[in-house]
Amino acid sequence: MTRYANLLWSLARRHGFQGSEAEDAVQDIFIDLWKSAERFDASRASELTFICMIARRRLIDRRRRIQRRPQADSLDDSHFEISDGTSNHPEVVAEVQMAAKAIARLKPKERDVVLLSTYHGMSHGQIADHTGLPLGTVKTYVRRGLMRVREMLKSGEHLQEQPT
Amino acid sequence: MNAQTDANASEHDVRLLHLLAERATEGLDLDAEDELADRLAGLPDDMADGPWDVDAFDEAAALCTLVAHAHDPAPEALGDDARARIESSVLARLARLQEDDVVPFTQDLAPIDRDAPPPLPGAPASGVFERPVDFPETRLPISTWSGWLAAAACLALAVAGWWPRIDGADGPAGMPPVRAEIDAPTSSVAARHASFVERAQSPEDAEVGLWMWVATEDPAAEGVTGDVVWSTQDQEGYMRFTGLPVNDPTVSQYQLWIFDRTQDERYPIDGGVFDVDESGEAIVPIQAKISVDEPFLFAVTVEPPGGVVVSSRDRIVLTAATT
Repeated sequence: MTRYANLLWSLARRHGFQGSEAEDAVQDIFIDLWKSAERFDASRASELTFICMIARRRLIDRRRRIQRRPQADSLDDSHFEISDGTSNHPEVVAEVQMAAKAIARLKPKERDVVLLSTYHGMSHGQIADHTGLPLGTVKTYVRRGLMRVREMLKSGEHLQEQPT
Repeated sequence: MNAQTDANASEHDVRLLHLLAERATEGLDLDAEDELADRLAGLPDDMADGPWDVDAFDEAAALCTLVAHAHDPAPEALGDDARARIESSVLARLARLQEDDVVPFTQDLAPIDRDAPPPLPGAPASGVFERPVDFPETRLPISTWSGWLAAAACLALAVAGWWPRIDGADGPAGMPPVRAEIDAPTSSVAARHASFVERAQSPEDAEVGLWMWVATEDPAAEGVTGDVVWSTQDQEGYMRFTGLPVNDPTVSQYQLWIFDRTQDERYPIDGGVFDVDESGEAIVPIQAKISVDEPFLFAVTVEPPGGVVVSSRDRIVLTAATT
């Protein structure tokens, strides 16, 4: 638990939960991980990715139940600088480093929309308000951005090249 | 499912992709969930696991999240108090889940190889007894990790309300636990420990048991290795630790608990309170308060000075279990 508690806590906070709500959310994630462990397929994704998938689902479900959203005005700058794989965090695994390269290859606005949605937990409507993009464009960026990340990871496409 | 698919997809396909992406990023309401289920059910069987991999968006979203987290210059920090509350609550909840479906504490522990040479002083424990190594060098497979959770849950269950069986005046309100003495490895204690290890390795002497310590996630367990040996016939045993942190006896002390198959698991035997007063290797005699007949689990906790008769089990540092 110690290994993943910081990550899960950070995700819960990013999804708008605070204090005891965040603690409850992290507890529920650990319990769900326990129940879901048999579904883990190491040939498909790393343990870290699997844990993050379960955590995101629980946080999204929880957030929908209480209609909680992070405040968009808490973001000073919605432009993300993603390097091509280096990080100061010890839990980063090769799969994440490859994903960083894939994300770095997305178009800047597409990348920003994807990360506002996935990491900061903003709704598509909030992203539209925050960025000034039409809602339909936000939805398209999210969908295509995620698809491209997945596609590049599966094929290894261009991930050895420098981002343009 | 790929970008080209999206470009050439039918209206039906685009709607399905939209639902999958929406589910992965902000969730679906009940109507949309039903619609997604209907659309997925309508896919040919050979499509469901291929281009329409329903988890692909979730995996991509998870990876994006991990990338952003890894590059977050100021991730939200979890305080020690909150961490302790979370871990305590999770263990308690897992213990309750286990009550109707108990997983053996030792499910991930291999049997001791009695033909193997004794562990060298200071050498790390081997095989499944080795403490999990943190990222990025090695990661535990989820099965092992979940097994550890099971073990922790079972231990939490076992220690719920535990107290040592102490005869007569040494009851819960009785005398403080006897302090075990810690000796330098060159003393007779070390010699006795070595002889017990030798006996445990001998095919002719199955009476002495040897178990390797398994570190928990407690900070004091970082890098700790060692073993515990016990002879039921002699009612004598020793613990060897390498890397167990020096403790301040005025603040906290280590305490050993022994779970015995002949006893109620809720009431482990107090194995003695001890200190580590210098770094390196320490060998500690076990001071069991009552007879230990069939030990199957040893656990070292951190307790207030003098030890306790009822452990709060907040800090379980090491465990050693038989199969």
